[in-house]
Amino acid sequence: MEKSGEVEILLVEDNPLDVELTIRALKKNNLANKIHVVGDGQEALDFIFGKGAYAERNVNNIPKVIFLDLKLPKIDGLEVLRRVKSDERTKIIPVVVLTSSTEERDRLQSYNLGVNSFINKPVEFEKFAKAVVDLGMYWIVVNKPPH
Amino acid sequence: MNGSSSYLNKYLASIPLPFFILLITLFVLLDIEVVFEPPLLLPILNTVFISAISFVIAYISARSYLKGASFSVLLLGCGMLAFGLSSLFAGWLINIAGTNVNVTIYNTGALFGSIFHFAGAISMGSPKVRFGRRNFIVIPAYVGVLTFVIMLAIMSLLGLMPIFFIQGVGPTLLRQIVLGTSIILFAISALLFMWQYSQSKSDFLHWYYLALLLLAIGLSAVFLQKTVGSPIGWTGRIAQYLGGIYLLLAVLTTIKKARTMGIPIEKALKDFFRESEANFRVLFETATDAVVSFSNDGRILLWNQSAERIFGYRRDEVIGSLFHDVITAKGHTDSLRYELENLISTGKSQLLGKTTEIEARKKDGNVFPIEFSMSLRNIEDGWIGTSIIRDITDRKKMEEALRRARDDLELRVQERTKELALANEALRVEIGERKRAEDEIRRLNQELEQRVIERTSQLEAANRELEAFSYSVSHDLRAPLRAIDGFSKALLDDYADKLDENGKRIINIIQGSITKMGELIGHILVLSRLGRQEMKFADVDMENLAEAVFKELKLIEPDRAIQLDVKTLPIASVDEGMIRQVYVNLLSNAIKFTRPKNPAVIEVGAYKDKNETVYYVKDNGVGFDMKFVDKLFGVFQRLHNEKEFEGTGVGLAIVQRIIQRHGGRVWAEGKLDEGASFYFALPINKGG
Repeated sequence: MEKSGEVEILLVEDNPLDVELTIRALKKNNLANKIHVVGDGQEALDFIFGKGAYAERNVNNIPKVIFLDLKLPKIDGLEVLRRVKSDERTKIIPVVVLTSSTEERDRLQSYNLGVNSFINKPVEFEKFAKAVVDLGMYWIVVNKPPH
Repeated sequence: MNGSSSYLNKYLASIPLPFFILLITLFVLLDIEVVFEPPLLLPILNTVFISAISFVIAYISARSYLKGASFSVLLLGCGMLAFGLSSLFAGWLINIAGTNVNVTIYNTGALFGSIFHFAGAISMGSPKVRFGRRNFIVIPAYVGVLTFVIMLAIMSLLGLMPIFFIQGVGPTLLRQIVLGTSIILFAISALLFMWQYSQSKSDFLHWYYLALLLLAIGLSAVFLQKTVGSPIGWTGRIAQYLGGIYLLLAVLTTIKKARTMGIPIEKALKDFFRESEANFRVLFETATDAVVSFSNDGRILLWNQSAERIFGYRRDEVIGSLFHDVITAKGHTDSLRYELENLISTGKSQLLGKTTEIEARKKDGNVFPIEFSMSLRNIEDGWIGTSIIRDITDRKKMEEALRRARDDLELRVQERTKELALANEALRVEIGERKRAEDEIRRLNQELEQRVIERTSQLEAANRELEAFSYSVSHDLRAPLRAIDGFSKALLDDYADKLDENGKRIINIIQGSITKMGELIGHILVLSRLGRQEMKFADVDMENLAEAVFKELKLIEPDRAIQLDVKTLPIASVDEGMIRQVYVNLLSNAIKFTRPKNPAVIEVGAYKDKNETVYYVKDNGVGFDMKFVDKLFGVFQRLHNEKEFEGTGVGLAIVQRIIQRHGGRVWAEGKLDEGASFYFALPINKGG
């Protein structure tokens, strides 16, 4: 969990239990080395655009993937997604929405805003862990972003 | 024209005729040859009694003709002139030239006179003859007659005429032919005038035809005489003189009548002989109305055939009677009698110059309605009234009938109007009521609409709440569940060596419950979403759909022997995703509840029923007791415990919700241990 160094995964999640479970799943597959967790939408945007608490951060070090929950304090996930995808500097960052919501509306809106993946968090931990690991593998290891 | 006395006079006037005939017969038988012919007697008598009278008549005839009388009057005038002239010459020449000349002239003149009379008599009733200007006719005619008679006299004197008579021997054949013809013609003329008299009752004609008959009788005596101046000859002469007197009476009565009417004698004569006389007679006698003329003392002068018919009095009964006595009752002071009496005394009446409906009396005493019109014509010494009277008994009856019919009609119209008014009033009341009812309905509708709006907004609010709730459920309930699952798993992973078997079993139970709860939440979310989800209708091949769903479900239990029998299913216009869910739920139930059966038999079919297509899924599974059928489609309602058959109890509720959204209905039939059938019916306009 680097504070200012290169971040591979930005996890935006307010539920600490989900955070722990997610990290636990990633760790098991050695994907949790460069993960940074923020607890609300405001902090997520500050981190991405180097503002507020993250004013010192080098914004050129963009994360390889953002895991984004939709239901967040302060600024919700869809707004975060919209800002990321409408900024030239950040729109190439793959964003994976991980949500408990099964609302069709949320899914449609997310895709309209340019989400790269939309995942319903399964209740069963095994399935959840598998989904997180698969996505982490894909975006961090397999995917070749344009540089 | 003076009442009953004139009738007596007329009868008396006829008496000389048989007398003369008897006398002539007597003298013929006696054959007395005595000659009595004093000088100047014959000329004077002839001149006075025949010539003078004849000339007067010829003069009056000529005047009448010039004033417009018919041509026959002129012919009569010519006849009289010829007769009078020949009589004059014959009378005066007998003393100079003897009997032959006398007879020749007189008889020839008589012949011409009779020819003219005959012509005049037969042309009286005939169509008018016109010969240009009248004075161009009269002068040559009379001059011609005069010339002819003078020529006759001269020729007789010169002996140029054949012998007519030999004194003492008698007449020659020629004379008898001439005189016989003359007699016959005079007689015929007399008869013709008599017939005319019977039509017009004119006094002039009465005297005239009697005069002509006397002439004919007189000439008959002359015809039979052998000696001029003999008793038979004188009898004939006297008869002729009496005829002359009668002619004079004819003229005198006409003059009297002319005086009474205040017109010249020629005009009075013309009235009898005017060209329109016949037409007037026809009109007068054929008029359907009574025509009555009366003098200013109220005496009836004319009484036509219709008057006879209407009042029942013959003409000879009423001529000369008082008009008001005839047509009204004596002592009866009704308005007609009063008015007529008033007219006679004052010459004025309300009835003059107009038509009045009034009552009159018949001969038999019956009083009847008449239409009475009256006019007066002033004459020298008073006036003559003429009434036209119409019997309006029938018309009155008809009017009465009409009036009654009209009254009756009026009454009926009034009744009908009353009925209509009542009906209208009733209608008005009904319309009022209906309008009130309509207003009430409109008000209720508005209220209903308002309530619908309110209810809709309430429903919308409820929907929003439900939406928020389901979102919350999906998000908030699943997160802690996932944490429980995740950390119990972590416990099992990280502390496996510290947990005994029972500890591990407990964790497994926790995880099983979590799975179950996850499913429940998932189903509730599906159910809640169904109410809001927008439907997309499309034609769906139900057969393919059912088979595809079955294949997927079968994968879960690949070892089971399940016999699926899909019948022909009609294509339906439905939301495919939703109907897929229906088949998923029904078929998974069927698969689940046939587990104890080997082989399991599942039948998928459909049939049409009235306005809907009924689809069904039938199985030979454990079935159910029909007394629990009402609970089948309720949420979380289960008929089996979890050990027997797993499940959330939401599946059939979802099926029901989906079918309801399609406007259809669901029901089930079952028998414990024998199987169950689930039906859903789709309206035909939407389902296949």
